[in-house]
This record gives sequence, structure tokens and C-alpha cells, in this order.
Amino acid sequence: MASVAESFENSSEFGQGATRSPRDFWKSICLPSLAVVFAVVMILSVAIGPTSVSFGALGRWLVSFVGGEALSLRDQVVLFDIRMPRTVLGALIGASLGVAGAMMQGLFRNPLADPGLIGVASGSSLAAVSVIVLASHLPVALAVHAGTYLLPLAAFFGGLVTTLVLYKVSTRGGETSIATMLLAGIALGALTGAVTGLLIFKSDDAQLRDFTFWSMGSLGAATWQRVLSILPFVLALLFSIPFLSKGLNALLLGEAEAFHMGFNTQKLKRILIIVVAAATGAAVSAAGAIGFVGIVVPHLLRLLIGPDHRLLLPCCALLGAALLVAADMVSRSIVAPAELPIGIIMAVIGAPVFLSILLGRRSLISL
Amino acid sequence: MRGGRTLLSQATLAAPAGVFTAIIGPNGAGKSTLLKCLSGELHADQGSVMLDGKPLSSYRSEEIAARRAVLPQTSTLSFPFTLREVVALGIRSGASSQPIYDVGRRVSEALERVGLGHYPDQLYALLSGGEKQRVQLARVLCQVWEPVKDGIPSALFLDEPTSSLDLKHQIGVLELARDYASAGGCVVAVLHDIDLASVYADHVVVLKQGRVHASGAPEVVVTRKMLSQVYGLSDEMIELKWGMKQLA
Repeated sequence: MASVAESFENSSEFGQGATRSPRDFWKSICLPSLAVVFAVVMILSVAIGPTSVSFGALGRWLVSFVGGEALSLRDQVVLFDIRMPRTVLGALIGASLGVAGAMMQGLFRNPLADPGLIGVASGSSLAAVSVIVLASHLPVALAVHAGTYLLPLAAFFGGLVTTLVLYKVSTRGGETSIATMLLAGIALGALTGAVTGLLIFKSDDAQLRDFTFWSMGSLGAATWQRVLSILPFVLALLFSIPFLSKGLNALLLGEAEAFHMGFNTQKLKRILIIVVAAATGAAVSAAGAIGFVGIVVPHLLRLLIGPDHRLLLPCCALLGAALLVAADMVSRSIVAPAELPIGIIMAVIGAPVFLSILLGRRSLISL
Repeated sequence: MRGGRTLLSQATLAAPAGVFTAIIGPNGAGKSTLLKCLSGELHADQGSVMLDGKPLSSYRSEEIAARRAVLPQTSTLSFPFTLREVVALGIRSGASSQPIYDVGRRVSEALERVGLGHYPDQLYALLSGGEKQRVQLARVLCQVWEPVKDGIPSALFLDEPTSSLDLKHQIGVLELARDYASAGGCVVAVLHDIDLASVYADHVVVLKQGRVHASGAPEVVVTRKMLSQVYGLSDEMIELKWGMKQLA
């Protein structure tokens, strides 16, 4: 006992500068190491697939930009038109889902809030599915554009409306009731699910295939056009990080506290809701409902580096991107040449993490 | 007015710099509501709050936060912040326009002052209620560290700062508040303990049903008559609580 007491004494004698907690260590290395992980996963994702394109070929192709030897047409198509858009799309969606999850958890002051879990994604899905059904009634000229531009916009508004309803229902005087939030999320999910079901019931075969894709999540339909269509939403989210981090930190203490600390909480909350809805909508419109990224990524990172959003949010973007791209690699290689929907893989990883949050930190979360 | 109920009426209060003002009164008298109006969190339907002779609403929230910090009654935090991180939030709040170069030292100093300097890397959520309250006080202190900054006094608003503290720390917190006021800052605290309020506050405001019942130096305000009128205490109850102690 004496020695334990002594070691405590000693550690406090070293002063603040000298003692380094494990958290300080992770804080100092997390951003660079996540950047490396992200880069490695991106390269692997472009290099690996059912059609083998060797790393050498990949390198040669990169060199070919500066005047090296060109790739065969087949390899070019595989790399540039299939794998690269898919990888970039996965990274964009993973980053948005990770950051949107962390932001929403800050907004609701609750580590269990996730756009996928509390019905925001189903709101987006409903809007997206409605567009698909509507598109068949639109003039052809419009219908072509609908898939590209209308879809992300509709998914954004679907997510926005659901987030607003959820926030209004579950928040009283700045305090969010976790139980109300989750239950309201179930109700909203059921409602949007019912309407989506109705639309599916009325739809034709081609539309049915689209819906299946939406409900399970897949990066299979990736094109450069799709990447471009969600890029503005994702960039808006990523650029908002430095402006929202300090406010989010204060918001974790409470809404009144954040106000006392000089933050315009109403404006902050409004921006957060819009940004989260935009990111969720973008992700859903491009790859369907992929759950759990928004909860697994921020949770793991908070365990290591704590909840300070100035560091947490950039890390969430990198880890979210790496995780989704890696999950997509698994999804297209595990049953190749067929594909497992990526939503299934994320649920297999995510559900246990979610349960472990509930079990391990019951004392920290009051329902 | 809240939910059709008038919470405060004719509650006039001046909180000058250099003075520790205590607000006392029975439950539901409007003490916290008054403090919320003073901090700008609530807007009174009638009447106004002035800061340096200008209405509070004419300031931006960052301007106010730079010179006024508020300790809430309770604070829940469901995220794994350490003590150091919670306290540092005070420094890095919207208030601080100029950078503070030694955040670490300021944070340790603030934690020392509330008697929690030993384990700054402990998780906040694992603390007891009283310890949490002291960490919050350290955070609030960091927000308005200097009682007088560039000739302009800062203000500490404390909503029942001693509610979950043991006796020793109650006294510690009130001494800290008194020192802050005597160094030129403004302190307004909602207190339940009339004895402690009389010992440490320079000025006591008694609220009853949303009205200021009495206001003045503690020895003038805290009387038998006030206790029976405001708190509805009978002579026996006063005798039981205060015993032989002299009460005017």
C-alpha cells in the first residue's frame, strides 16, 4: 500500500509537464498514424480485387502520368473506372458517417446517438426511394439528372426533417432524454420504413433492385459522377470541423453552460443539424443505409484520445474512411465474384461494439 | 413568467464589483431564476439587466462570457473527459480571445484551488457529486481567472455552489468566493445555508415568492423576524437550529 501511495506522490511531484498519461500519448500519435493507416487502406483497396492488377502495374500506371509506360486498357478500366471511384466514394462516405456520428453525439450530448440508429438514415432512405419512384414519372430529360443531383438533395432533406423532429421530440429545455430519443428513433424508423415498404410494394422489378441496394448498403454502384454528386456535401462537413469543434466541446457540458461560456448555442445547434443531415443524406444517397460507422468510430477514438472534438473529429474522418474502405474490400472479396452488402459487414462489427458501450459504461450513461 | 406562473416580480438587485452578494430564500422563491436572468440565460418579460449601465442584451455572448462565468447547480457529462480536460474547457471557451500560453499550469492551479490537484487525469464521470461540483468551479474560475482584468471587474455567478459539498469544502469554496470579491471581482451566489451566507457574504438579498423581501448587510437582514416571515419558522424551530446564539 505504501508503495502505491508513494508512486502517486512521485507522479504528482513531476509536475504537469513531465507526467504523460496514456491519453496524452495517443493524442500525440493518433493523427499521423491514422493518416498512414488511411493511405495504406486506400492503396490496398485500389490494388486488390477479383481481377488481379499487380502492385507493379499500379505503380507503372501512376508513373504513366509523368511519362512512363501505359497500362493495358483492361487494367486501366479496372483501376480508373471501377476501383478508384469505388474507393474514393467509400472514403468520402466513411469520413462523413464517422464525423456525422461524432457531431450528432455531441449535439444530443449522448454517446449512443447515431444517424443510422435513430432514424435519420431511414428518413434519408425514404426520401431517396421516393425520388426513384417519382423519377419514373418524370420526363426522360429530367429523370436522367434526378439520379445524380436530386437524389442527394432529397436524401439531405429527408435526413434534415427526421433530425429536426427527433430533436424537438426528445429535447426539453436543452436536456435530451436518451430514452425518448431512442424510442422516438424507433417510431420514426418504423414510420418511414412503412412508407418505404408501401413504395416498394408499388414498384416494378428494376426499382425493386434499387431498393434492396438502399436497404442493405453497397458501394457497388460507384461512379465518378456519383463521387462528384456527394462531394460538396462531404466537403461542407469536413470544412465545418474547425468552426464547430470548440462549440461542440462546450455543448457536452450542457446547453446553458455552453451559452455561459459565450457560444451562440441556438446557431450552433442549427448548423450542426444541417451539417449532420447533409452528410447523412449524401452517404445514404450514394451507398444506401450503412449503419454503425457513426457509432463505432467515435467510440473507439474517445476511448483512446478522449472527447475533445478538435482532435476527435479529424480522427473520425480518417478512421471512418479507412474502416469503410476496408469493410468494402472484405465485402467484395469474401464471396467473390459475388458481393456481400457492406451494411451486413458493418452491422456484424458494429452491433457488438454498441452492446459493449451499453455494458461497459452503464454508469456513464443514464437512460 | 414561466408556464403561466410569475416567478419574479419587483426583484431589484445591484451586484457591485468587490462585493460578495448572497441570494437566500426558501425553495421556489425564484433564486435560481433571478440568477438565470442576471446571466442572460432567461429574459425577463418586464424589467432589464444592466451591465456597466448598458442593457445585457446589447452585448454579444462572447463579450459577456469574457467577464462573467456561471457555476450551474448540477451538471451531467456523459463523455469521458478527464478533470484536466473539463477545466481546460473554461480556458478555451468562447471567452478567451487572446491565447493563454500555459494552459496546463493554469488548469493545475485551478484544480489546486478547489483541492483536486492530485489526480488531474482521473475521469470526471467517476468522481463523487461534490468533487464534480468542485471541478466545475475550477472550470468556471478559469473562464474569469483575474477578478479585475485590464481595469474591468469580472463576475462569478454561483448557483448553490456548496449544495453537495462537505463542511470543509463548503468553507473552502466560500472563502474562495470571498477572496475573489475582495480582489475586486463581483460574486453573486445562491446559498441555502443562512449561517454561511451571513459569515462570508458582504450583502444578503432575501427572496420570498419572487420578491425581494430584504436586502442589506447580513447582520441587518438575518433576523428572527425575517426567519419567521420568510421561511415560516416558529420560535421553537429557530431555537432548535440556532440555540443560544444571538439573533437580533
